[in-house]
Amino acid sequence: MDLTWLILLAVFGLQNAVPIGIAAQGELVTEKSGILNIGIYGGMAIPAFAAAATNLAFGPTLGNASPYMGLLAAMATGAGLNFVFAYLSTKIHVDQVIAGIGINIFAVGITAVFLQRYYALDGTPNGHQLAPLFSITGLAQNLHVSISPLMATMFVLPVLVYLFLGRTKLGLHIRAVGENPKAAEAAGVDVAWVRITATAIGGILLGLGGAFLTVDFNPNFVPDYAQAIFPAFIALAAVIAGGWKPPYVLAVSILFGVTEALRPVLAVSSTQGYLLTTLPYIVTVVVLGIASKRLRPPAALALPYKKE
Amino acid sequence: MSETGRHWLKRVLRSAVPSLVALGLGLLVASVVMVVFGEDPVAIFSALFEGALTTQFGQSSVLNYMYAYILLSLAFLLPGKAGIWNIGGQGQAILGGVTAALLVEFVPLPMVLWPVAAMVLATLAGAAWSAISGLLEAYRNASAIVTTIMMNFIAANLATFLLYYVLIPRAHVPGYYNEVDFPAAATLPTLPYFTTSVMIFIAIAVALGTAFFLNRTTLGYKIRATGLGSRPAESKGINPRTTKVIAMLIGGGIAGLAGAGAVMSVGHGCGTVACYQDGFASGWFGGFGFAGIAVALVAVNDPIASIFSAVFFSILAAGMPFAYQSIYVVWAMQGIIILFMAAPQLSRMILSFRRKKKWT
Repeated sequence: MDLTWLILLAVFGLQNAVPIGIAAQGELVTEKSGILNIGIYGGMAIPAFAAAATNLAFGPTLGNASPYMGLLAAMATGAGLNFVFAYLSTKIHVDQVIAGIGINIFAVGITAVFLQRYYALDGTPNGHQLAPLFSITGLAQNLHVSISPLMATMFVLPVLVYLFLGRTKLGLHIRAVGENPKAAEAAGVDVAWVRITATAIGGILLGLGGAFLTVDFNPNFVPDYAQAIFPAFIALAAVIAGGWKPPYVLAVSILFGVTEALRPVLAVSSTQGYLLTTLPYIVTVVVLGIASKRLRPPAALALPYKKE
Repeated sequence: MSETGRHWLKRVLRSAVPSLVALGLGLLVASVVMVVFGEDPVAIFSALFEGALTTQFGQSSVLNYMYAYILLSLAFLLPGKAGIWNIGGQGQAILGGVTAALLVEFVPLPMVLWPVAAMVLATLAGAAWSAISGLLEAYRNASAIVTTIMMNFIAANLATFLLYYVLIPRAHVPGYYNEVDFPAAATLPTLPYFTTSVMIFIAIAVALGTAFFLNRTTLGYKIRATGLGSRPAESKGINPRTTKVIAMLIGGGIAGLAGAGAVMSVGHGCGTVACYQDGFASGWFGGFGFAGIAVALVAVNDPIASIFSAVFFSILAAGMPFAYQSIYVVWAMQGIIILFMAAPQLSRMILSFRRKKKWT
């Protein structure tokens, strides 16, 4: 029996899962603090653009190291953008949902403005591609699998996030303000700043997830309207379907990545492929419908907190 | 003017101040960006307003954007009055559009009945789609914020599947890869002079109807009471769960109607199903559904004010091609305007610089 398709499914599935898995861990940290970041699309797309632009700018001088500058730029942009988002929604009391929608729309517009001004409306040219950690050959005929450092990151992150949330003081504070901000405040925790910090940390990972698509998977930025797919809302879905637990969120991210890989690997026609693409969203709605009473979202998720 | 009339006018003007400040700040930030890029904002904005307001193409384009913006802002604000987030206007509209197209292509009906039936069915489809999120929020405690976003993606993919799998094999326009032939008898009547359909009148009527419904009917009262909190509503004998679901259904229905309009308006530039893709699927956040949320926020969730707010956004969107090659600057501006609108403290802060008064 020829199992090539199974290997292909695993390889492509894992590759698809990288941006979802990394971004989902970031969104998880943010949501644990009680902030629902609907602006996750902007939080991935703007840093992804920053990564591509930085990669291109440093390309001539740094050569193959320039993608790493891109990753740094993406993490910084993601943290900065999420800092603004969290500051607005905690200190200025902007509604989280509205601020998120605003950031998403802004992201589409501002990246297009920059593209039109400096590159082309349908995308940037190619820069250097992130060098793989190592390559695997011989799995199947003519198959050459490169393992990206970001794929390794995807597998390590849940452990780090688990330890961070469970074993550090800041992690404890994050969970406290996400469950019961009033009690946390009474215990002397600054709710707003803990939430801002958690959201900014989440932003670093959103940026890294976005950058995977623009310096690694493809070494260029192609905007959403030109048929790039930023799997931002799939990451949001993975956090929910994974029940806000880091290892489950990783498992769901990989499952969603494999779902995406079904279409090219099984050579499903593009028409029917539209239905396959929808699967992660359907799964999430069904999980919410069936298990919403058993899922344990942070008790104060999406609830604004005003100091008395 | 009578005393009460003057009082009313004063109140309206005062409540419009934060919106005007947010719009002004949006324009200002956009202008600063243009200056940074070495362009002349005055020239760009005058080209924009001139194009949108003085050319026949521009005026028609304004009306085409306007009906969609009005309807989709209502689809957001009416469920919002009951305290439920409908971020799914985009998906409900897409589904309404494709439903209307399916009826037109597969069930020929006599005369007026044809377009009317298509619009009614589209409204029902939008309502049914939103019902899933409404029921999940009311009875399963699953946030509509999340489910409506998920339903957007499901709707878009389902509609695209139906377009390529069902509609195009049925009535393909030769030479266009994704356009479906639409019989003239099933399209909406076109206005004289403008190249746009009567949808704009339908949209304004729905906005006025929504205002009447919310302020003058029992169900409207129940919706507003539910929005103030589930427990106070219960103490008045209102079932907040059913009220939320009903509000969601009406919102989804209005969005579905907008989708039907996009498919059935010849004046939109094409009498084809490709229209629903044009307006609703072109870039997730550039779509009408999300612009509708911006329109509703600037209108401070008031159905009548949303007409005026829609005028502003329509002029921006319709005029942008005259100034730039794309309307992406408008999207960036919409995002900023939304942030300012959602930050009453920001506007108050800026106003208080003038008044030298401490803001709260």
